[in-house]
Amino acid sequence: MVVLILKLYVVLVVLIMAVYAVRHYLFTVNRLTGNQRLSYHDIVDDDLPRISVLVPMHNEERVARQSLETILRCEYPRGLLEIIPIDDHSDDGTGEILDELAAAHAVIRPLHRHEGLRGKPAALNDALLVAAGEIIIVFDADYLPGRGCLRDLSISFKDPEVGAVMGRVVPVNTRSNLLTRLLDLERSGGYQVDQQARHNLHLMPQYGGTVGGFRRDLALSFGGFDPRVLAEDTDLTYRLYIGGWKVAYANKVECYEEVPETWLVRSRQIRRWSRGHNYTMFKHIGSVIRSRFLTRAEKLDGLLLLLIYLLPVFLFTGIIDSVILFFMGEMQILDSVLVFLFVATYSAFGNFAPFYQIATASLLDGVTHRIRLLPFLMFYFLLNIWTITAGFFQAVADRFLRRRAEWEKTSRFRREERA
Amino acid sequence: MSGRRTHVLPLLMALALMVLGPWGIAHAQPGDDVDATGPLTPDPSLQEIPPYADASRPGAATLLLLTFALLILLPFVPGLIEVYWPRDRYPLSVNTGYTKDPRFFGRSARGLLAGALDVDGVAPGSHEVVLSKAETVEVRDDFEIPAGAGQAAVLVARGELAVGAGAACERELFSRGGARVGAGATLRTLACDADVELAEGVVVRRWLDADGDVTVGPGCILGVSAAAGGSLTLADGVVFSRLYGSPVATTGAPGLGDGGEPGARVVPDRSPPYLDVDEIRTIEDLAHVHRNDLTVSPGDEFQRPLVVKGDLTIAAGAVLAYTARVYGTLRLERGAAIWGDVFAEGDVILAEGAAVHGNVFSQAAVSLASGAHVGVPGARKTLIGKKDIRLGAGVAVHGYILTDGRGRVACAGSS
Repeated sequence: MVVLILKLYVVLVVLIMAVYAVRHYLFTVNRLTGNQRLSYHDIVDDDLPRISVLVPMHNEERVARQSLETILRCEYPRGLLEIIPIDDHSDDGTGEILDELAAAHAVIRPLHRHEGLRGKPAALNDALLVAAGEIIIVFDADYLPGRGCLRDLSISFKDPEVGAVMGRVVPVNTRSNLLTRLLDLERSGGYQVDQQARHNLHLMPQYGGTVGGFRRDLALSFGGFDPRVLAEDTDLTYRLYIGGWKVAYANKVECYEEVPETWLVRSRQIRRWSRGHNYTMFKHIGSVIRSRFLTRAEKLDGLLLLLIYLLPVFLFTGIIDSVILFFMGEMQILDSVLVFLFVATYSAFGNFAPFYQIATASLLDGVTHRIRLLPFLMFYFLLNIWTITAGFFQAVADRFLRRRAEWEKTSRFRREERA
Repeated sequence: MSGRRTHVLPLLMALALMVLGPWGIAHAQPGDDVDATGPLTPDPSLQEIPPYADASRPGAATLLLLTFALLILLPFVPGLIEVYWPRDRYPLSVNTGYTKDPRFFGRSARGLLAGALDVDGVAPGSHEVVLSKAETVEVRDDFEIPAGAGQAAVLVARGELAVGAGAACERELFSRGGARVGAGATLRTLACDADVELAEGVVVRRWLDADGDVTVGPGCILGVSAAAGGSLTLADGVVFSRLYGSPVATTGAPGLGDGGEPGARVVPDRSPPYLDVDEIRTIEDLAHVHRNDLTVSPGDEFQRPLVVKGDLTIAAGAVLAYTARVYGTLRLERGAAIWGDVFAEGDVILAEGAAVHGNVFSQAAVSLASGAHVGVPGARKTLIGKKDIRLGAGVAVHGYILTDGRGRVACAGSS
């Protein structure tokens, strides 16, 4: 009986991996040959909404000034704009920098938080209560938006179905080391192919929590952000889709960000994302299936996206399972030519699906030499398997012990020469 | 971990694979097998394998190890070259100064010229300057390019510019005064600080920009962009990709939209609000959602935006006061109007005298029949038809027009 269960689990893992491989190929082929839907940023309209730009900051003295000065350079009617940097329990010089900039620029209205919960969801909740804009645009503290970014994002809300909008994130510190270059490749695949293909196919592009925005009234009517959730962006994405709203993706609204430069910081970041995403998965999986607003295709894509941080867990446990079966001498699972063909096909093509997607993204971006680094992504994926699995079990514990996860800030690496 | 130290990492990774992979082979003993049923017994069939394939022989094992190491290392070689001798390590190029500007080409070219040459201060004649590259710029006061002639240098006319019929201008043209272009002439670019007049059949290869009004004759081809600070008037048969003007209008018999057709020309006091409800949770709290086709008739009233999963028809004379989001085709019949914006996955078809006061955005084609209008005077709006835009006679669009496909003016009787 135990052997049978172990064998069935291996088959299940292989099937799940195959489904995701098909998904990768579908998205990639769509980007190469499919109909590319336009995004709304090409609309020129003098009638713009009033917006509030929120920038949560916890001990961000290394990046705060440059980020805010970059946002100040954005073109947007000053009468329709306010910038709310949120000093979230900072004990460095962040608060002073914000006050200094606020004294010089009336459009900056800092919010100092030194009581209550720390973390992005709680900080956003406080800011939502004081924000005057009908549209909220969010940037993380290390982001450097272009001059047209605010207009290009907020114009999407002309469409009454749009509950949130998401731009494209581009790593700025690629020159630092191999890790930053691998993260650059991963980001390219995720935005240039994955997000845009989901936009093209009327699936579920995701709001990513930064370089994006949402309707203030909607977020408030949801009760704000759940402070127990480390992935407040995914949480909002699903609450929107379940309620019949859409997330507009704007691939050409690009914004530089700083990616982690050490494997330790990256592993902590990805573990936090895994913990938050998987918590959101437990929270919304039933609602996605039941939602009367979602199409079948959206439900399927929504479920696959919800389960994406479960994939390394499946893979990790599947490998352990197969090793156990191997030493039990029970590896002969399904004896059939068709199964052999399936496994051979998956080995030949399925394993390479993510690499194919990333290579296509680089091609679309017009940069090709970096594709030579693709084999090194294998090591990065191995790191992900471990850290995401750890994050998953933390999420399980969070869910069933009803405990609240502590917000863990990502370290910054900005150096003086970039400032 | 410093950047220099982490550059050692890829080499270590590749070496680890190279060493650990063969290590597994090296520690595998001939005859090793996983057999849970009893002691190891040599397979008699192995005796039939020719000696040269026996991996237990030192020479064969070494060869096998080296082959394995080579094969596993091989995919990393290009990557190692890229790590140590990078050709592509810079961030993706993001133009952080970019803002959406329908007159980008003209402004950019004028800025480039102003930075390179004091046009008002220099003497007329040829000047060597660096624009985007080293160029010869010819500065004149009034200037006329004769019919059928060519123009090889960048030309700046401080007064009026006249381009003769059939002339071929392969370089940039700037004009401080007005510009007249003769029939059948070919231009690469033209930036003019006053009015521009193109005769029949002029071909603009790249772009045209004018601070004043632009009049375009029949059958002209307008390149990637034609923009005017004033009005942009197009005759029949004009082909375009992007247009900008206040307004962009087509010639021909004025349609019903210019007349007194009720409904079509009513300008609302203000644009429809983004949100006008106290609490919203689902899309149905903000908008009327229809899962099938819908027809809005005169007298129908909607107090919220419309989301229609099928086709939407606004019947003749009917008015929709809010924005429409349509998954199928949107048809505005004769004299119908939408005061808000239009977002459609399918075609958008405006019949004679129909009007949309907001933006029109279609992932498919847009067709404006005689006298149809988009936008209202005094506020820029946009008409986007991804695949195709067709403008009839006497239409007006206040602002920007864009298509990825083919835009054309097709008055009655033309195709």
